[in-house]
This record gives sequence, structure tokens and C-alpha cells, in this order.
Amino acid sequence: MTESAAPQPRPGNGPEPLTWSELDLLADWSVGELTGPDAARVTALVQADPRWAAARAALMQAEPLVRTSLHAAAAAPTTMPADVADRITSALVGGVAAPGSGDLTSATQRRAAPPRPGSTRPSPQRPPGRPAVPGRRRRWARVAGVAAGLALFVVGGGVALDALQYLERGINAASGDRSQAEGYAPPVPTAPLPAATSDRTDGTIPVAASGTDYQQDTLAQLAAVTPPVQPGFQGALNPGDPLGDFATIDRLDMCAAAVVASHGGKVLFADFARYEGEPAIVFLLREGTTSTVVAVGPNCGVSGAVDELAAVQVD
Amino acid sequence: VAGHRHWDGVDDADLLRAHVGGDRDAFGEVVRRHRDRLWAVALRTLGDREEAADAVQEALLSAFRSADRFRGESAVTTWLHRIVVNACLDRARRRQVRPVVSLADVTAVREPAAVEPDRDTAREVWQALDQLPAEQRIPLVLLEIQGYAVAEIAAMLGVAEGTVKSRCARGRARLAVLLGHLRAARDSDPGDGPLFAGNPTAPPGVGPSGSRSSEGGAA
Repeated sequence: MTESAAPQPRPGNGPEPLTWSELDLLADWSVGELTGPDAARVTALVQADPRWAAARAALMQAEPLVRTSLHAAAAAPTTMPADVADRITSALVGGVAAPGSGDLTSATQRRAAPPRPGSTRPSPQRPPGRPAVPGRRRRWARVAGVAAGLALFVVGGGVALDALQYLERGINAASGDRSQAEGYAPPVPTAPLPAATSDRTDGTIPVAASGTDYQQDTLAQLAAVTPPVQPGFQGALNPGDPLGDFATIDRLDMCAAAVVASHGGKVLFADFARYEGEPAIVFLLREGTTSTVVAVGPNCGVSGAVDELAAVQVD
Repeated sequence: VAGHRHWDGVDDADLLRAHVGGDRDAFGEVVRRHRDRLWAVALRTLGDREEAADAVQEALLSAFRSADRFRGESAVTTWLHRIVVNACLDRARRRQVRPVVSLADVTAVREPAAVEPDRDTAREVWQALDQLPAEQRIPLVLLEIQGYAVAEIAAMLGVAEGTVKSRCARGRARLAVLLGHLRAARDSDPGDGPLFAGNPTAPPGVGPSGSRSSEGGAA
């Protein structure tokens, strides 16, 4: 093996400096990690060769200084920033049902391929090998200015389910202070609610069942006017229903978590509806002043998949 | 806070078992307990905030999904660190050109009462560490900055303890040159010239071929 640079001639008449390879050997020897003939050879060099003797002496003097420098650099404790913690928690929530599934989109991947207005936006969490459903169009659009004057019936971050709350929900519930832990009051419905046949939802995500057949150009309506909340609606779903799998709280939560992991923000609302004629759950998310409406299909939440049909961002 | 109380007295291994058994909150508590140290390891070994975030996320997802394979042969924290360290090592190896470490990122979030290190010194140290091969930088950070024992680092990296000692010794020696400590040492003995030659940032591999030690045999 060749050195990256030749030894520099020493000014004056002194010995040639050690090469980097020799320095590695000396470092190994100094901590007793050189064995056999190599150890004996270096020992002999250190005892008899002025180059090696001087280098060893210098290294012994320098080592404490290096350690001091490293310890000084370590004096500042590092805690995981909140945004990183949130992001990782969201990713974990998105992977709740995903043992063996593909990796979630990383930050660097997201940086490389941000959603583009008007462009198709495939779900990043579709299980590997799962083909797109024929006839389903994944769409992404941005509607500017719609937010102005919106009459949201569900407002405020307190309504939202964020990923950390998801993880902490059970803990808080166990403490017996569920309503405070979840931090929201149920939104006021705008129309009489149908009677619920049972209530298997914990009400964490306000749910409606408008049955609206959303289209690409009407999706943003959910950000403007939310349909009436229907507590207990999920309990009325049957396994044979197109969205019957969402009768359980867990399944809706897993789906919501996958949507959050993909789009960010917090879930404000879910509407059991249709998208271009197909059964769909339409989520309303909020991040800062931006709302996002995402329509997902019946496979949302399976192995962390979003099963996104369309999404529209509303500024 | 209630959540933390909920898990008081439950050790990491039991939390992991609960996670495998279907408890949806248990792994979150494991993450909560260890995330700061895992983050520090990733940030300080990769020197890039986004890379570190990706590495930790990737590692924790892997741990989340493979928790059923944890056999309890090491502590949960060692297991988690091993996964994170390997994710960092993979990323460091894949990276062709590493960005200069950002001191602002490395030291941005501090505990209020933390002792302020000399910023110039810290910057020099991080920049010097950034020039070391990943195989030396990672164990050195774990040993000298994060304070792990050699045996723990060996378990994390899946190498012999001697290999860890060797890599750390080589890393310290190179840092001594990069930080100018060797020069300073020699300055106290005027009349001698440079002790080491070559470019430490572009060594011919991690170690010399033919050198024995844990890294390879003698020249």
C-alpha cells in the first residue's frame, strides 16, 4: 500500500518524520493492540530509532491534550430537537402495522422530491409491489387563497390528533383524565346527527359520514365547511361495508397516522365519503395556516400505507 | 407526565416485551427514554442534522419492527445504540463528500445550565473529527464524547474490544496532528522537526496494510 503523501524531509539534519501508516502502528502499539512480531518490531524501533522515539514521546504528550479537547467538545449536552422527535414519532406511528414493510420516506427523500402543485403525488407508503388500483387517480393540487374567510367548525390545534398524542393517548387514558389529555371539546355539529347504533370510536378524531362524492375540484370544500360530526358512526359499519375495516378505532388511527406521516400536520377531521365514486375517507389536516385535504381508499393504514386517492392543499 | 408515571418501574426489556405483545405505547416509552442519547450519537458521528434525523428514524423503525428478535443478550440501550450506530456507519460510508460539521447544529440545543465550552475549541474538534474515517470517528465519539465503555462500543459495533481500542488510538493520534497538539508538544522541544508526514484526511485506507493489531498487520 502506498502512502497518501510521501514523508516530508525534515528541516535540518534530524530524522525523517513518521508516515501516517507508521503513526497508526505507533498508536496501536501505544495501547497494546499490536501483537506478535509487529509489536516486537515497533518496540525495537521506539527504543533504538530516533524518529520513533521522538514520535512516541510527542504522542504521549499530545494524548491528554486530545482527550481534553474532546471532553470540552462534549460539555454541551445534546437533546433531540422537538421537530425531530415529532417526525420520528410520526414515522413510528405510521409503521404501527408495518412489520416488514418498506422504509418510510426520509427527510432527505422528502427534500429531494417535494410535492408539486398540480402534479400527481403517489403515496409514499404504498406497500412494495402493490399496484395502483386501476382507475384511481392520485392527485395533488394547491388551492390558494381559499383559506380566507373559511368557516371551519373544527378549529384549533387542540382538536387535532398529532402523533405524539397518539403514542401518549393510552397513557393519559390510563391516568383517568382522558378529555384533558386529548385536549379538545367535541366540535359542534351543524346538523342533527343520526342515531348511533353503537359507539366503538373513542372520539379522538371527529368523524362525519357525509357520503359526499368528492371530486378533484370539490375536495377543498372540506376545508371550508365540515359536515356534521357523527359520533358513533363507525360502530354502525359492518365488515362487509366498503369501509367496514374502519369500524375499529385502531384502524382509523393507523390510517390517520399514515396520512400524518405522509403529509405532516395534525388531523382535524375525517369524513366517510366517496372520491370520484369510490369509497373514501377524506381527512382534513392543518399545519400552521395551511390546511390539507386528503382522500384515501380502503387500504389506508394497512402496513403503513396511505392509499391516497387525491390531496389538495389549501393556503 | 402521567405517561412517565405510568411506566415507572418498568424496565426497558419489559417495555420491549410489551411492545411485541401488542402494547401500542410501550415502544414510545422506550424511544422517549433513549432518544436524546441516540440523537447525540447520530448527530455527533454524522455531523449533519438531517442525516442524523434520517439515521435515527431509520434505526428506530428497524428496532420497532424487529423487536421480536431481541433476545435480551444485551441491554436494550446497547441494542438500540447498535442499530443507530450501524445506521450512521452505513450513511457515513455511503457519503462521498461529507459536509463540514456544523457547530451550530451540534451544540444548538443545550440544557440551560450546561457549561459553555470554548466555541473555537469545540469547532476545531468537530472539524477535525469530521476528517477522520468513519471507522475511527464513530468509536472515538462514543468513547471520548459520549462516555461509553470500550466493551459497550465493541458490542454496538460488533467488533472486538481490541479493534475499538485500536481505532480510537489511531483516531486520537490523527486528531493530535489535526488539532496541532503534536506540534505544540514538539514546540516545547525546539530543534526537532515535524514528526508526521502525509495527509491525514486522505489516508490510504483506515490503516496500513500488513499491520497487525485489530486493524491489520505491520508495515
